[in-house]
Amino acid sequence: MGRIETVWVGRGGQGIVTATYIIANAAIIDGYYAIANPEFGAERRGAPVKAFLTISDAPIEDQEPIKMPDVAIVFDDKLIDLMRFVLDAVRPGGYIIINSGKPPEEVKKIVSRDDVYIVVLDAIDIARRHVKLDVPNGPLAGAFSKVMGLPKLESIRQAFENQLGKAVEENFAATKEAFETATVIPPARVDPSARPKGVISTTSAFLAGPYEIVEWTAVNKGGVVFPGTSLHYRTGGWRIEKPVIDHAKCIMCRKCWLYCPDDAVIEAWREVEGPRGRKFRMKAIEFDYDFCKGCSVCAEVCPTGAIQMVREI
Amino acid sequence: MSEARGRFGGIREKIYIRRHHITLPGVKIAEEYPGLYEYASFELPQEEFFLPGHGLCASCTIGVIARHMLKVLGPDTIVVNPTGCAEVSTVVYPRGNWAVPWIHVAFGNGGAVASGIEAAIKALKRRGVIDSTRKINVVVFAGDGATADIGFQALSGMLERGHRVIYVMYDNEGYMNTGIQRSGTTPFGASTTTAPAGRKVPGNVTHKKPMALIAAAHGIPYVATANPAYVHDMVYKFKKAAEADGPSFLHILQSCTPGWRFEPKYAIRVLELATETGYWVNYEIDRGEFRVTMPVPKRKPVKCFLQLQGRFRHLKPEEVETIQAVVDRDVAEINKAMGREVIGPVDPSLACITPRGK
Repeated sequence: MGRIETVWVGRGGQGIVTATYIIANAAIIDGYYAIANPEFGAERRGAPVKAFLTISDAPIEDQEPIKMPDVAIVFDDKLIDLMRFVLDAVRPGGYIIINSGKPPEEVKKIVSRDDVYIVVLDAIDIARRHVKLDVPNGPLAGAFSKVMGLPKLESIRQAFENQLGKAVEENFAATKEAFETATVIPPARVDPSARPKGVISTTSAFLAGPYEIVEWTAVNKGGVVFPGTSLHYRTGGWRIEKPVIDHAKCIMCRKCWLYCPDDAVIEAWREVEGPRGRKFRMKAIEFDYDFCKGCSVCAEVCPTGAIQMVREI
Repeated sequence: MSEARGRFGGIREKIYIRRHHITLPGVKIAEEYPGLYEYASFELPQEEFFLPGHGLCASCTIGVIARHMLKVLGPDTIVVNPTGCAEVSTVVYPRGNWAVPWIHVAFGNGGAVASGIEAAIKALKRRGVIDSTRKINVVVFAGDGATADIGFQALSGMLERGHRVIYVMYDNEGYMNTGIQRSGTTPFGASTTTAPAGRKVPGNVTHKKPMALIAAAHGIPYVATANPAYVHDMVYKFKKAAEADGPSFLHILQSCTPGWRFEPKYAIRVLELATETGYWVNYEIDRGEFRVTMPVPKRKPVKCFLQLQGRFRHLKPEEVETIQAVVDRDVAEINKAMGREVIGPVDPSLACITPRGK
């Protein structure tokens, strides 16, 4: 089979590093050689993470980052725009595996490539049903096994036992369901001699916003950063669920505003219609979806239950 | 320091449970206090100086602490930030989210740098460079590692020299930034990567270092413990610390989602339970007067606080009893010091999670 190079893209806390270790472990049980190396910045749970996994039938001697993968696995469909350069770098005839609650046709439109296989599955839903957690790594490992034909499901189960040591049955059930239900959209045309649109650059992979790459001589003196520069960093993409407020139940106690760690709860003027058709403006709680990380603290502290969390991806 | 031997049947090591000594020399008990913190109305400014767009974990309460701290202290504030979660995730080179002057310093010298800044401001005021009536707050915003362990001597020196600096310690009970290692404030029984729970040893075998009382022993004007779940109480303490004429020290509990291993939505709930179970007591020592600012008429069993968190999941019932005994002893000491019952007895009939409207 030669050599398969894969790039896994997700967010911290989704089990992306564990997923690559499990696939590598399972491939080694099957008798292949595998190497998995994650790459992430100084950030926390929820920030974008990239991991590389290479499987080969000959010993692997290089540990370099992968430039043009055969397979890209995306753990979160909101990362597609941010990580467009990864999808563009997939070789024609390769695979893009995406975790999304959207219908497969819609996902295909977002990906906007017709020379690769697109695999869509709702891994969050599967994981919630089986593992009771928002970690889509087990189902995505199953989808990987389905489209690549390796590693074997039984080896994945063995790898779960080696790697996790607990909740093996639940995770394996999720993997198996994904193996059976993932939707595969074949490409319209494949030109094996074509080259992908770009390669994955090794620098500034996580810079999101209007930044430009400058030489070291043009860096601010003393490493000074200016206030307000963080506003370019939209953390809204981190969330799985978004808060929605029912204004009829809200009593304006502003507890959500007090406890929001991201300053994403704002007081805004809202136009409402009175009983006799009179229009007036009143203050109301709204959310800043550019920065809300979807931690559900506001819904938990709400004394009247006016805030509900609605699934987004 | 009291010593208990063989508490866990078969363990040979000594288990040290530190004893809090509230009866510090020169500290007397405050007069009856009419619950000002609980009922006072206050107005928080709308302006934010801790801007969104930082990389803290979803539901990290560092954001809550820093937002309210800067709302109270205002724009004339200089923040000194030793290494820690708050530093690495709020300022990543091309971007920063503090809308006030901010400096990153090494792990161990937060107190020393703040002393220097305060002395420089004093000198510039004397020379007439800065208006001498202008009030500039210098704040150290440090974690428990940068305060209780590594930065301790710089802190002690700063307190002893009497610089007018507000030292805010957010205590997430471990080195959460580098991957959940044990620190001096990790509680008894918590499982961390350097004090893992095994078959014989139930995680960490020492109890929290009483940092607020250590700071109070320096004889500084204002020391307090606070909890972000009780924002009104915390905000008043920031205000008092800013008004103090000399160093002030605030020890603030902060919940950590990956380190304490609870669901992100319980970030505030778990802190509420810390106070409701008597595990964390909000008190202040204001010019030598000791006062509990958040009385709890009836306590919940400490099990309520422990069962929400994955780091205590391994505990056996008898180990939970040990933690309950430690909490009972600390509460009894505080009640004895206050001379009346401010933190009530355990009432097992109380529901662990008080339902909120749904």
